[in-house]
Formats: sequence, C-alpha cells, structure tokens
Amino acid sequence: MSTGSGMAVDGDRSGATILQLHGVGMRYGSADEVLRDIDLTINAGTFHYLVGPSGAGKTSLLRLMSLSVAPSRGRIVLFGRDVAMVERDELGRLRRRIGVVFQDFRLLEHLSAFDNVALPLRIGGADEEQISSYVSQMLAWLGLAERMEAKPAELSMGQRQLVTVARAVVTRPALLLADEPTSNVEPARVERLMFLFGELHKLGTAVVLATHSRELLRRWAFPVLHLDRGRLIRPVPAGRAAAE
Amino acid sequence: MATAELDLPLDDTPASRFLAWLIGGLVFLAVLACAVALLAQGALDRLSERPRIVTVALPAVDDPAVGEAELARVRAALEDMSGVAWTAVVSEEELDKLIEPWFGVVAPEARAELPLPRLLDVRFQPGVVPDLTALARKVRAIVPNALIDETGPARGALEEAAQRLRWLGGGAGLLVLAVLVVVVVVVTRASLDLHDETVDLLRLLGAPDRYVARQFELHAMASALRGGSVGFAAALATVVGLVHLPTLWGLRLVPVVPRPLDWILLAMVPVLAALLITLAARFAAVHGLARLR
Ligand SMILES: Nc1ncnc2c1ncn2[C@@H]1O[C@H](COP(=O)(O)OP(=O)(O)OP(=O)(O)O)[C@@H](O)[C@H]1O
Ligand SMILES: [Mg+2]
Repeated sequence: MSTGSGMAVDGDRSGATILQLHGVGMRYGSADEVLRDIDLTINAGTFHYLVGPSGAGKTSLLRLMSLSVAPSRGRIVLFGRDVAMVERDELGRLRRRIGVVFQDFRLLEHLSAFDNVALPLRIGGADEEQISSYVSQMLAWLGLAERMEAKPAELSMGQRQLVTVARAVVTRPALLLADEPTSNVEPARVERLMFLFGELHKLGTAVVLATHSRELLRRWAFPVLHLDRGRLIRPVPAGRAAAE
Repeated sequence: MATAELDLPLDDTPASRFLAWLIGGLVFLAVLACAVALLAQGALDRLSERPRIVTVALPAVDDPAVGEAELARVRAALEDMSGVAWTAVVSEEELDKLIEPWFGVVAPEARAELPLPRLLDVRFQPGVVPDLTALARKVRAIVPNALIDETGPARGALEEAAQRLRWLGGGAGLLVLAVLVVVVVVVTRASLDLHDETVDLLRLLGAPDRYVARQFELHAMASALRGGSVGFAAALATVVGLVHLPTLWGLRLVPVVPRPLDWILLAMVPVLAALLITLAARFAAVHGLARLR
C-alpha cells in the first residue's frame, strides 16, 4: 500500500505534543488503583513500546489514552485539550484522530471484514468511493483480499487481528494505540504489520504499542515505556531495552 | 434490505424484529379507526346536505274558500322565511294514497264528506336546519290549531350515532398512534441497553450521538415502512371489503362509501405513523445515549 500519495496523516512531524498525562491514577469501580502517578508525554512522530508483566496495567493505560475510561486522578491533555473539560461532541472528534487496536479485537460480528474496517471512515463521514478504495487497498495489503466479505466468525484469530489493525490505521490517525497487535499473527505477517506501523510513524503518527514480544523489541528498536504494578518506569533508550 | 447495513445488529434482537409486526398491526388498527371516523363524517355531511322537509297540516274547514285563503296566507308567510326553498300543497291524489290504508279507496263523492286536513310540504334549502318553533309560531299566527311535523326518518338519532362514531373512530386512531410512539420508545430503549457494547465501540471510534441515534432511527423507519405498508394494505382491503362486498347480496353493512378525499386521508395515516415512529426512535435514542454516558 502506498502511504504517501498526498494523504497526510492527521498530526504533524514537528514533535508537537499529542498526549500528556499528569499525575494520573485509575481504578476499576471501587477497587485499588491499577495505575498510579502516571506522568507521560507522547509527541507526534514518536514510536513507543509499552511493556510490563501481565496485569501491570498496559491495557488499562491504553484505555485511558483512548478515552474509553476516565482517570480517577490527574489530568489528561489530548491534542492540547484537557479531556475532562471537553464537550461530548468534541470528544468524538478527538477520538476520531486516535486509532485503537484492541487486545480483544472488538469486531462487529454481523459485519463483514470490509464493513468492519470501513466503520471509522463511515463515522467520519467519508464518501463510499473513498471508503471502498481505502479499505480494499488496506485489506489487500494485509493479505486479506480474498476475505473481505467474510464475517469475523469465519476468520482465523490472526486474520481477525489483521482486520482490527486495518480498522485502527485506515483513518491514518494522529495517535495509534495498539494492544498486542501481533500476538496472534503468523511471523510472516508480523513483518508487514511492523512495516505498516513504521510507515505511519514516519508520516507523523505517534505510535504506542503494547507487547510481550522480546523478538519485536529486538528487531525493531524503539524506546520503551515500562509499566510495573501500575507505575511507569522512566523510558528506557531503544538499544538497552532490547538487551535487557 | 436497508437495515442489513446498520452498524448495530438491530434486527437480531427479538424486540426489534417484532417491531415491524407490531407497527403493522397498529397501523392496521389506526387506518381502520380513521376509516370509521371518515365514513361517519361522510354520512354526517350527506345528512346535512339532504334538504329537510317539514309538513304543515291545516285542519279541515267547512268553507273551501276560507280554506284556500288560509292556505295561501300560510304559504306566503312560509316562503318569506329564510332557509325555505319552496312550499308545495300535497295533491289530492297523494292525500288519497295516504289515507288509503285507513279508509280504503274513497269515492270522489264521499271524499268531500271526509274532514281531511290540507297538507303543505315545506322544503328547506340544503344544509339548513329548520327552526320548528319559529315555523310553528308563524303558522299558528294564521291557523292556531295547525299541526307541524318534520317528515323523513328519525334523523336526530342517525346524526347522533354518526357523530359518536366519528369521535370514537378519531379518538381510537389517535390512541393507536400514541401507543405506537410508546412502543417504539420502549423498544428503542431496550435495544440501546442490549447493544451497549456495540454502542460503546462506536463511540470509541468517535461516533457522535447523532450517528448512533441515526442507526436506531433508520431501523425504526425501515420497520415502519415494512410493517406500515403491510398494515395499510390489510386495512385498505378490509375497508373495501366492508364497503363494497355486501352489495353483492343487495344489503350494505356500511351505508356510505368513502369519498376520494377519504382515500387520500387514509393513505396519510401510515405516512404520519412512519414519521412519528422515526421521530420517537430518534428521541428515545438521543435521550438514552445521554443517560448512558
Ligand atoms: N474491566 C476490568 N475490571 C476490573 N479490573 C480490571 C479490568 N481490566 C483489568 N483489570 C485489572 O487491572 C489490572 C491491570 O490489567 P490490564 O489488563 O491493564 O493489564 P495488562 O498489562 O494489559 O495485562 P496483559 O499483559 O495480561 O494484557 C489487573 O489487575 C486486572 O485484573
Ligand atoms: Mg492487556
């Protein structure tokens, strides 16, 4: 897929601040906080891994960043807007600039792979011609040209994960939050996915990718955000993270 | 089908699937109720257009000349009255026919012996309701013991029945439409709760409330078109059947047929229903979404 061709990514490469978390804490219901004292700045055109043991809070942190849950403490500033102050409709507009690869996919079972990927474009009000070309290009590039009309239930886990990724990147978001996007994908496809993320990153998208894979960290060296029991350990430079 | 492209699988929930059937049944009832109201209105209009006839009976007098003079004065007075189209003296032949059941065929010579009253038909202009007291006052000023009677069927009772039917039909139609709105609101609320995960996902993808609400609106509209057209067709067949079929055996269940305007008004019922349904779904979805936050 050609990611150049005049379609600029939403966001710029000047290193502008995309997302800031100030002293953020988060809890589910009335349980203990699963995230504590998170201070974090994500700039345009950066690429970060998010690592940490299972249950450390990676998914929870990505949920905070994608505005699916509200923090119990602290302040989140997204695209320069304090999220707590934002109006309902404005919230939708902010969310449309974020692409999310959910760990549990969250595909709509009654829609085809094509329609699942088309969803964010339709929500954004793109015209059907544009949607048709973007979506089929994207799915073809991910090796799903033959499976566009298949429902999620007819796809393998790996294929479903690819559809989820396609849905997240098809709008060329300014911020891409990917929760273990390669965990079910066969090795040959991992390469493609990482190339895709890398291209978006080069175009100015800020990428945060949660993963358990040491292989990924070793082969594509990017800075690492380390979560441990809900706390963020200072970013580790790319080279050292892989060596650890 | 239009609903196949919705992001929300609204056709997959029992309540939503039955929505079309419910709408069909309710539109059927609403159209029937409105047909009753319109037919009753038609009957009322026809009753009021049929000119009314009041018969004045002047008692027999011995002297034919006096009788003639009285009759002429009464006619002149009545023809002066507003709303009166014309008056006509009931001819002797007609009178004979009227009395035949009691006296048999009366020989011309014997007829002079019978103290027969002279009858005067007063015909009013179409749409005019005769003021019987004023008429009686006028006539009795000339002939004190004259009898006045409105002829024709007991139109008072007929009119009252038609009026009652009109209100009943109209009221029932409105009630059914109100029920329709309530049903749509309840079903929309229920499916909003049922699909909260999908709604949540749409919102995460940046869908504003109106985008999500539009899904419910489109689904309700599709159900309204599907169910509504079936209900309307069934109601139309029923009305046509009731109005026209009995004439095959020479008797009519319904004494009036719908006028062209009535058919147009009946066709507006499903359109109005679809509009109400769509608005109700949007209203329920928007309010439900605001509550979900
Ligand atoms: N929906 C939820 N309700 C309550 N607690 C939750 C919920 N989701 C996660 N948690 C808890 O929050 C903590 C952090 O979970 P989270 O899923 O964010 O971890 P993670 O780093 O993504 O783990 P994994 O690597 O297994 O995906 C865990 O203790 C988990 O049990
Ligand atoms: Mg997780």
